[in-house]
Amino acid sequence: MDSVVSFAGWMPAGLQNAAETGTSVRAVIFEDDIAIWRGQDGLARAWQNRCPHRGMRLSYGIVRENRLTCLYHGWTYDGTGGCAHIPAHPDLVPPKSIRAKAYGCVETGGMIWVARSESSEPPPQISGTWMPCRTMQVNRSLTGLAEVLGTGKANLALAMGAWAGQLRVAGLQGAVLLAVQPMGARGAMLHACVTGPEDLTRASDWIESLRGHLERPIAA
Amino acid sequence: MSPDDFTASHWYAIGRFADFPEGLSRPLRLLSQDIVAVRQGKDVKVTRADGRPCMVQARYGHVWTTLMDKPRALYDMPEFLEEGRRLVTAGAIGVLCSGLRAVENFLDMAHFPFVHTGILGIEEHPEVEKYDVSMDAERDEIWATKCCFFQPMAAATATGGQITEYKYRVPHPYSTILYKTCPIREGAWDLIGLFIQPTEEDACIAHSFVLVFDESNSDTSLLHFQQNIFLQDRMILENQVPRKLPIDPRWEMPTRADASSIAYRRWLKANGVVWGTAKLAEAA
Amino acid sequence: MKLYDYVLSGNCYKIRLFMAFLDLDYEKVGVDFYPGREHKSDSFLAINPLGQLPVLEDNGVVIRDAQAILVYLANRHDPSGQWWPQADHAQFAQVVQWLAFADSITGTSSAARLHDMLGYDLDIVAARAGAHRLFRILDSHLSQQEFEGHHWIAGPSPTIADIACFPYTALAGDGGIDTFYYPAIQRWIHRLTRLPRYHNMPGINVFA
Repeated sequence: MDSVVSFAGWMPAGLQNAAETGTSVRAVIFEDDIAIWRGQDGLARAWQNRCPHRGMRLSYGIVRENRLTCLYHGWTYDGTGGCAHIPAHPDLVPPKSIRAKAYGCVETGGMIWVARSESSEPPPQISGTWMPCRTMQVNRSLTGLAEVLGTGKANLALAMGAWAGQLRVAGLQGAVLLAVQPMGARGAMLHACVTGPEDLTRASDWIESLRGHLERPIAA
Repeated sequence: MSPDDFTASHWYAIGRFADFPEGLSRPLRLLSQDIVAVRQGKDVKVTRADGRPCMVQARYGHVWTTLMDKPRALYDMPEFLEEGRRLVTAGAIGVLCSGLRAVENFLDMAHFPFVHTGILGIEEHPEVEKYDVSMDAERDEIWATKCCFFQPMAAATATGGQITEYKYRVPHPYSTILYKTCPIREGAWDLIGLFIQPTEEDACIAHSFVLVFDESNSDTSLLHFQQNIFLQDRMILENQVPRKLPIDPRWEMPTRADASSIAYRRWLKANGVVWGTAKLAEAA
Repeated sequence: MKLYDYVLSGNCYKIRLFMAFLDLDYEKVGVDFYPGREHKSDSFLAINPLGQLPVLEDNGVVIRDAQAILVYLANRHDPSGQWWPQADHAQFAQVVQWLAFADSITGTSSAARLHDMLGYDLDIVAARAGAHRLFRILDSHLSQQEFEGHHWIAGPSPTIADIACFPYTALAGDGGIDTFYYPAIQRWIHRLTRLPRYHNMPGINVFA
C-alpha cells in the first residue's frame, strides 16, 4: 500500500551529521536504496546505491578527495557521478556512458534532502539555524508528519510539506524541526533538529517517547 | 519458481560426510525444495518432501545429490586421485545472494586489491592483463587461462610480491575451481574450489575446499586462510543489488577484465538458465 | 602470550584488536571452530571446560572469556591506564556495565550471525529483535555522549568497553541486521576504525 505513495518531491534522507566528511552511508526512501556521501569539499551527494559495474552498494564505498571509489573493484566516480577511473585498466579512459545514477541532494535545516533527478519541484529552503539531534528508526510505516503529531505532545508551528514541520514541544526552549523518512516495509526514520545545544537531551528524550507511542499496538 | 531444466539437471553438494551424524535427520533446501538427509551406516540417504528418494554420491570430499532421475554426469576432477595432495574442506557458509553471483565473484581477479587487500592483491598493482577464455565444447565447460595477477603474499617463503598465474574452470553452473601454480612442486597446480548449494534463487550455501601440495601449513591454518578470504567476499556478495544475477549485458557494464564473467553469463543464457537470474524488467 | 583463536570469531577479534592497539606480540593458536568443532574436543575442553573461545595463556595464567581477557590485558599491559580508567568510580562502573552489555550483544547479534553464516539452528527472529533492542540503547547512549562532546562509550577516550561492544555491532550485517538505522553507532564504528593501529576482520567495512 505504501508503494502507491510516490517518491515525487524532496524527501528527508538523514541529519547532516549522518554523512560525515569522507564517509558514505546508506539511506532508504520508500523502496529506493540510496548512497549518501560527503567529499572533502563538504558537499553531500546522493546516488542510487549500486555501482553500474557489478551492482555493489556504493554506501560501502571509499571517499577520497571529492570522488567515490566502489569497494568491490575500485571503480572511481567524480562528484557528478561520472566514472573517472577503472583500476583494472589503468590506461583506459572510461566511456562517458558509465555513470552512477544521481539524485538531487541539498542540505537545509540541519538535514539532507533528496529528490529523484526527474523531479522538477524546487528544493526546500528552511530558514534559521538548526542543530542535528537524533535520528530514530520506527517500526511502523508512516504516511506523513500528521500521523506523528496525532500521538506526540507537540503542536505544529509551521508545516513544511507532508513530511516535515516545525513543532513546539513542551519543556523545550526552542522549536524542533521534525522530518519523517518513509522506508516501506522497514517502517520509517524520524529526524529531529533543535535550535540550540540546551535542548539536545530533552528533545532526544521527547523523540524516544514519541517513538514509543508510535510503536504501541493500535487497539482494534 | 521451479528451476529451469539445465539447472535442475545437475548434481549438487549438500555437505561433507562428517556433517551428517548417524541417525540424525537434517532438513535441507535445494533449488527451492525441501529435502531431508540422514546418515545410515556408510551411506547418506536423501529424500524429497513427498518421501521419494534422491540419488546420492560421495565425491570430492562432499555428499552430492540431485532432484533429477536422470541427471548429467558429475564432472571429473582427476587431481583428487593424485598422490601427495592434501584436502581441506572449509564447511558450509550461508550467503544471501544467488549462487550464480558467488561463482562469478570467484572468477574475478579485479577485486583482489580492494576486497582481499594485502593478501591476494594490493591497490598499487590493480591491473588485469588480458587472459584467454575458451569453451570446452566436448565437456561443455568454461576455461579461463593465462590469468596473471600481482599477489603480495604469493607464498609463505616469498619476501616481496610476485606475478602469480591462475587458471579457472567452470564445469557446472554452481561449481568453479581455481588452479594456482604450486610454489613447491614444479609444473603442478594447487586447487581451490567452490561447490554451491543453491537453496533459493537469491540464497545459497557455499561449500569450499583446497587440494594442495603443502608441507608447511597446518590444516587449521589453511582453513582459517580460506574462511578469512571467503568472508571478505561474503560482505560483497550480500551487498550486490539485485541479489540474483543479471545476465542481460545492458544492465551491468563489463570491461575486458570481466571476460570470464561475460563468458559465464553467456554460457548460462545459452543453456537456458533462468532460475537465479534477474530479468531486466526488475531493474527499474 | 598465547591466544587460542578462530579467524571468524568476533570474540577472538576483540583480543586481536586490543593486542594491536596495545602493540603487543603474541602467538596465535588456530582452533578449527567450524566446521571441525575443535572447541568441543577433549583436548580443548581441558583448556577451557566451557568449550568457548577465546582463551589467553600468559606466563602460566589461563584466562577465558573475551571481556575477562580485555580486563587482564588492560591491567597488565596498558601502563597509560587509558583503556580501563579506574580513578573515577563512576567511570569504572560504566566500563564494567558496558562489558556486560557486550556479552548481551554476543547473545543476540552473534547468534544471528551464526545462524545466517554457519547454519546454526536457533530462533533467528528473536536473535535479530534482541540485537535491535540493544542497538537502540547503544545508539541512544552514544548520541547522549556526543551531546556532551564525548565520542566513546565510557568517557572522553576509548576504553575496553568500546572494544568489547565493537565486533558484534560492526558485524551485525553478517546476521541480516541493518545498522544503518543507527547513525550514532555508524559514527562510532567509523571513529573506531580510524584509531591508530586499528586491525580489521572480514565482514567489517573500514571505509563506511
